[in-house]
Amino acid sequence: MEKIKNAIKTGRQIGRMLIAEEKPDSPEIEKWREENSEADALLDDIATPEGLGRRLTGFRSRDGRDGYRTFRDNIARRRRRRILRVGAVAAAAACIVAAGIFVAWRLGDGAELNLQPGSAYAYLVGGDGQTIDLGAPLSIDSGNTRIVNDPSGSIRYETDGAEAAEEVANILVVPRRGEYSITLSDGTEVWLNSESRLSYPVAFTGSVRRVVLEGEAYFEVAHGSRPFIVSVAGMEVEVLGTSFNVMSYATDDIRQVTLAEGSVRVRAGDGEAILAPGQQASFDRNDSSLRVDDVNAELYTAWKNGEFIFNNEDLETVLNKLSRWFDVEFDIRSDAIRSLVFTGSLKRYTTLNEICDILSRSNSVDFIFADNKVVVREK
Amino acid sequence: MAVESRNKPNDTSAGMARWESLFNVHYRELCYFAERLVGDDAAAEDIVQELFVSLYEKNIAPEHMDSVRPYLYRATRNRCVDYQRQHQLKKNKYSELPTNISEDYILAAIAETEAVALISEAIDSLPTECGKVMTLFMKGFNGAEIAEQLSLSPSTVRAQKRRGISLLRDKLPPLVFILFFETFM
Repeated sequence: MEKIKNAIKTGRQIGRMLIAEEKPDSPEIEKWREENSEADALLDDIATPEGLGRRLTGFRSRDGRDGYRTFRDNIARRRRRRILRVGAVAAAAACIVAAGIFVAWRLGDGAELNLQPGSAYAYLVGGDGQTIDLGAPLSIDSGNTRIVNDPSGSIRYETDGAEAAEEVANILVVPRRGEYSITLSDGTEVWLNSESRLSYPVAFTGSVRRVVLEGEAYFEVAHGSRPFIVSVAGMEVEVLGTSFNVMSYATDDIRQVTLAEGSVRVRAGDGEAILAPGQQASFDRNDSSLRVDDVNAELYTAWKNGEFIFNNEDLETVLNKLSRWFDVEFDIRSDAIRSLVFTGSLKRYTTLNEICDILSRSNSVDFIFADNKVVVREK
Repeated sequence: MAVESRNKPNDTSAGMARWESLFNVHYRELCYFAERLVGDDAAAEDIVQELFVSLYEKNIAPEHMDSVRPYLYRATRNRCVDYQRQHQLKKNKYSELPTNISEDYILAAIAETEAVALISEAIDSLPTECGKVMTLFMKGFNGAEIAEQLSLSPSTVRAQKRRGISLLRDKLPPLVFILFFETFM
């Protein structure tokens, strides 16, 4: 160990001498040259620009943060493997299930088809643009704000109530196959569905509480003196304390707000509507029309409780939702299929084969699992 | 020696933060050192990752900076020697390559790693954007590629490069400076 410590000391001295433009020839280094048969080769080469440049480039090609990310993946994988091992010991049947899960995981890694449903997953984009993977516990304490993450699917912001000088925006990004919930600094809870992002201030300042949503989210807004505003492309929802679902995917023409409790005001285009519980506002981007319908709000908020519930929903809409949750592409082979309707409930946390099985039994469609997509054909 | 100790459970956020800082402080150095011994960059990274995973699973986190580095060097060396032995066994079916890494070679590799790490730190002390530009230049990207990667205008990249070179002129010896100058201007 002493020899290693000595080598470290010598190396640092060589580095300092090179920075100070001295030849590496101090008494200590001369002594080291005598002791170590490899010293000459190193010192002669590292003192040339090419030799040092090559070494620096090699050294700086890696990053401790990347290493740490890989490390976390490695320990997560080992944990999963351990679970599988226990299952294999328990019973032969469990072994087969475990192998199936493992195969599905492997599939999920590549461009191949995902049969497994989505799960709690998200990442955070900080005010400085840095991204933080929320797959690991996170705890940030910055004086008057605390951010704590529970990797099982939620993140919480807390503030001591002191007014922040400036608004720092964070963005919670939930990719396809993910879902996540967040408690904002005012106590408002938001559940984000797959392929969604919410931009919000770390602590609210000013006269309104404003967040920006892309995708789908269910809000339980905490009561407060300042109005809470959800902005989506082309529409705004203003509330004072209530629960509602907003769906606004960039790829859809319709933006939809469904009220579960309380009261909200929706502004879109030139229109404005105040919703009562059980009402839904739909804004169509094509003709900028805003209409209000009486609906069963439960249908639109069921995803948050682990279910898909559909009532006379056209199959294309159903498949769109599945596509985000499983991150698979459905290749619909005929237009007639798109307008087939489906009524029923599906569990979110089941495999894609099971769901397709149910859909094909109640509709005249067949699902064929191809390499990287699911082909939908008429029976 | 105070290096190995039982710690708070790893699955707390404080526990994970400690592992993250260990990576920030030692990862590049250990990979560089391992690559010197096994001559393969991917194998070097695997060896260092396996070392950290095995420490993690035993819930041993090296605590004190000064004594940690020698300990990690020794543990990495042991794994590299094992790796060489296994690979040599395979190779030796076909050829008679010598397999031994001498102690002097290992110690020189440690000294080299520390020297390079120290100089790299000087570069890291440059202002953020300037450091990013200089790092990419060092990796062999040209001005246009850097402008695109960092979403900067080519004129900003040129200005940052000039600034970086002049700051390094103060911090680093002409030897290193000449290297940057020749490579990047």
